[in-house]
Amino acid sequence: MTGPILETRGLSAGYGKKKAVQGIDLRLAHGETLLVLGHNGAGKTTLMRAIFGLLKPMSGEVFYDGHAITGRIPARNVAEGIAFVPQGHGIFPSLTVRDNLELGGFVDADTAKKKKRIEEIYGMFPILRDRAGQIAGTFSGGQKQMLAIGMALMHGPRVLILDEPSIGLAPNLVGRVMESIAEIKARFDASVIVVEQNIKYSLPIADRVMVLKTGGVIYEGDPAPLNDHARLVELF
Amino acid sequence: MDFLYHIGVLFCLYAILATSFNLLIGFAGLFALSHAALYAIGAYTTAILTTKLGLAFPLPLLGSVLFAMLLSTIIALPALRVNGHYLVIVSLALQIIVLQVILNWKSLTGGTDGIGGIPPYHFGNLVIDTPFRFMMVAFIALVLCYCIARVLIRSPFGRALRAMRDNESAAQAVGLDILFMKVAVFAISAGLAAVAGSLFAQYFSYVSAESFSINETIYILAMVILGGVGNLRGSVLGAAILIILPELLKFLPLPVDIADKIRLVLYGCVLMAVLVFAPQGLLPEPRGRKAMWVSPDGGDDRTDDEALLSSEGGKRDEIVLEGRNLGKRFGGVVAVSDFSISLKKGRITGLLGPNGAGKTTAFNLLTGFLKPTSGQILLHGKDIARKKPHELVDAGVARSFQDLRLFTNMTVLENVMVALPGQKVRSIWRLFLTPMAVRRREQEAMRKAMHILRFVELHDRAYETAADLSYAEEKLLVVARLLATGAEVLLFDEPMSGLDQTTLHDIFPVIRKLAEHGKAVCIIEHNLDVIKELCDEVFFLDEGRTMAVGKPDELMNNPELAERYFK
Amino acid sequence: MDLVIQLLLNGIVNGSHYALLGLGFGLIFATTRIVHFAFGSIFTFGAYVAWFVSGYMGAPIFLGLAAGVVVAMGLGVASYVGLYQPLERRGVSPLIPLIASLGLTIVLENLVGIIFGTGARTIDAETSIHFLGPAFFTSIHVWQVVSFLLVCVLLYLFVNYTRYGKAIMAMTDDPEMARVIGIDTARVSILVFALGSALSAIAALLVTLKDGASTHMGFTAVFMGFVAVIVGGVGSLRGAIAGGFLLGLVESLGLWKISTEWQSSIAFIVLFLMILLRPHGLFSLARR
Repeated sequence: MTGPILETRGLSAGYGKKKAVQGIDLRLAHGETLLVLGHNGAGKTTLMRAIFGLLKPMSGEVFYDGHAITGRIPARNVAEGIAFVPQGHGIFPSLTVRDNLELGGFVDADTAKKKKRIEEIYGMFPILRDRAGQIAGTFSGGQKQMLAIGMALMHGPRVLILDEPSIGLAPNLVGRVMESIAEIKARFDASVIVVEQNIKYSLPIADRVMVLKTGGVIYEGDPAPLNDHARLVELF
Repeated sequence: MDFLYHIGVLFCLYAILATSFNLLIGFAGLFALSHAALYAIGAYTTAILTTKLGLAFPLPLLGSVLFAMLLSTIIALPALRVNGHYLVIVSLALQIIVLQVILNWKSLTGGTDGIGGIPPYHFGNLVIDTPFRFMMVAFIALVLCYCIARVLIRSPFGRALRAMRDNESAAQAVGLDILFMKVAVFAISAGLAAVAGSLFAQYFSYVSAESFSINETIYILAMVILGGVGNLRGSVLGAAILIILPELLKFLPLPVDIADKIRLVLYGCVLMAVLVFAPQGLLPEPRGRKAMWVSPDGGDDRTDDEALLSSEGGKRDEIVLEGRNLGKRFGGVVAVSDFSISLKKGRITGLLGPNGAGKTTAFNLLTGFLKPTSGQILLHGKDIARKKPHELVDAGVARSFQDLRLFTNMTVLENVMVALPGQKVRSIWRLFLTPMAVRRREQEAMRKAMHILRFVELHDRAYETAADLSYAEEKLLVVARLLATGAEVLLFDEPMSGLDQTTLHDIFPVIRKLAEHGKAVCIIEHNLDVIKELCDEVFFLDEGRTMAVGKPDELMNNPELAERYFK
Repeated sequence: MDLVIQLLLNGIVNGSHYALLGLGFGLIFATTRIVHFAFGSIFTFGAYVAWFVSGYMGAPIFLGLAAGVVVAMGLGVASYVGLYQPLERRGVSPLIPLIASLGLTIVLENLVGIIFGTGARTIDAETSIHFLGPAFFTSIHVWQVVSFLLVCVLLYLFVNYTRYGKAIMAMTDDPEMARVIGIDTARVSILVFALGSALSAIAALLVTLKDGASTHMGFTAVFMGFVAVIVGGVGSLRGAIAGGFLLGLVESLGLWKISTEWQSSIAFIVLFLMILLRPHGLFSLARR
């Protein structure tokens, strides 16, 4: 039994003087999919940005694979194997698909490895191969999301954080994206945090669930009880 | 001794310039860096009026002020449409163009030779021809200009300016006419700069374009930043320091041109150092109670909520605001299509739907922040689709923002006061002509604002700066500010998101009371509890169109909608 | 007709100069979103250093160029690390760096005067005059065009085929996303400040050879660079080049109908109209 691959202890973060999340203890075990649920404004995104280093935490600590990474710049976290897919299509809209994927592997200087990775990602999302020369900004929402996930996989992450991958997608695409997350875990041996508001599609792929409300944790544990409609309405 | 008086004159001139510049950049947040050009216009107008037309005080001064105001208004109308970086660059370009005109219009301005032989002031037999006498004149001018600036910033107009600086779209949303305010403050600032210019011409009896270069603007900018942006006293202090400091250089044995350059290096360093190490400047902008002009007169004369929420007639359930088949596209993307809604007097209507369904776009259409590509918006049956946001507030439709957009550098009380009707101050002259009436109205506004704050139970935080409020308090302030507009249709964009259960139950009655008193209320909400608790009717939106209309319970038990909502 | 050909030729030469300035200024602006106004006074510094080495001390031109480039790069990097980065870290509004850079501008401009003295400075270089039909041009004009083309090719190769070039592209497109994929944005900012300043020094040397240097030359330079960027569309280096040439041609052909003393106003009026009518630039449609 090894320790968690990612852990926060008493993490608080926010903007200006105000805390958006307060005293969060999050644990992500090796090979686990953690689903973080919550409303708009519950602090989900703030929490993820603070973990990843895009936002300096106000207090508390972040550990990755046993060592503290609190407040480090994202460049170092990415280099050590944490990948983040931001909300609203984390791509470079005016570059081509191919350029986007290559930039996804920016921290890796090894071109041969990059080529191999790109092939692997094309294998998962064949549409990206077909459209390799297209400007990414002209993609549909679902294609953008696939590209964003593909980019995050380019440097072979051990922890993958996805911030609302379903936002703005048609329901059938949401299912497709969630499936691909399950596939990624199998192929890349990664641990995953999925931040979502969309419960129906994300719940099935979760090993464990954490529900945030107004910056604090109001439920943590097994996803099964949340399948109950009544329980959901109560929490939301 | 004359040397000291000379410095005194310079101080007065630059204190006027810095004060007027601060009005523009500090209070209105408009970084239009063409101040030296306006200064030049003031100086040249006086020079031309005195030498070519032989006019005597006060005509040249008045001419300078009026001409600068007129010209700045003409310039401002296009230039102030752009913001931020672009405004800085456009105004720097203006500065250059004005100087080019001065240099090239030789018949009028003398080109590079400038204009000499400007006569000194004559007041009866008294000729203002010594530095001491001129210092007295300049000092009187400074006091007058300072008072004008002070009255302005402490008036409702000044408050509106600060609101605009803090958040332009929110200022529009409470009914302020942004364009008018920008042009007005630019013209006033130009007029005051022209006073300094006119004095300059009469003091030196010679003007040339060299005195009004871009460096001059940066020099004045350094004074404002050093003294403190948004603090008038700071500008006077900044001018004093940056006038006197370089004079000390004169005691060093340096060639004149080197000394002059060192002086400019010094200004640049001061400017950078202040921005990096002490961005507030020497005297920070007053906050809280200190920033208020009138103080509450203590009396807790509680008027009842009926008076506060008075609504002029009409029956409950009467349709007040209606959107018919509204459509909006951005480029090729359809954000809203075929969206219809009707808001009824005395009813709370919910707007429900998954993320990206187009709810906020719908709000933007109904409140004039976006123009619909198709469809109609009717207020009491009249088409209002072409109106600007601030006109709609006057007409009775006001909205809040999901991201709150409070005026964070103003007090809670000011946030409410600025939203009250009648804060537009279209006739700025009145501030000076009937100060007592203005003061009285200000007291009244304050009482009303306090009353509104009491209504949302935020009155004991009235003098806090809005930035220091807790999240829940901010949300209450949003409600209070919206209420203050006096609009009959109130649209709330997620007023409850991120609030915990207890706070929610504090806000519920407030919103219910609004409806009970005859307001037509519309809320966007994700929280199903809130919808169930509050709404009489719910419009379910997805993919930019109205999917269903009904009672909250009906909608929530509809499996298809639940499917869409939870996806 | 002869006049038009001459003006056209001048327009192309001046256009190369403006396009070079646009590239330097635009590289910094697009990547870091900082309106680096002191770009102009660094340009002046570059010119005076080059003059000092080649004109005053008589060293070969390329040594003067090298010295100018090195000093300009040093000043560029120093202005980012010493001034803009601390401001960025504090998360100030984007206007503040611009205001600070105005301060830096007058500091550097006057330091040039203090160190090198004021007054026009020229470098004597052998120039030859060539004729193209009725119009003439000098070897320095040729150099201006050639070095601009050379810079274009090198910059194109750098941006498209190197790792840090791609990082610049990424930051230009979306700075936040650049951080997400693991780009050390502070380091890339330093890089573009160095590169942009180097370009300014090249332009500075060439214009010194052509017209001589004066302490006030920087203001026009940064303005022309800025206008080129605005006209071309922020974030597009190709746009900056097109904007520079457009500016050069408009300014030059304007002389056909407008008297010379108004020539320098043309650019400002173009800028004014551009910002008001097409704030996203002529070529912005190609992007998002």
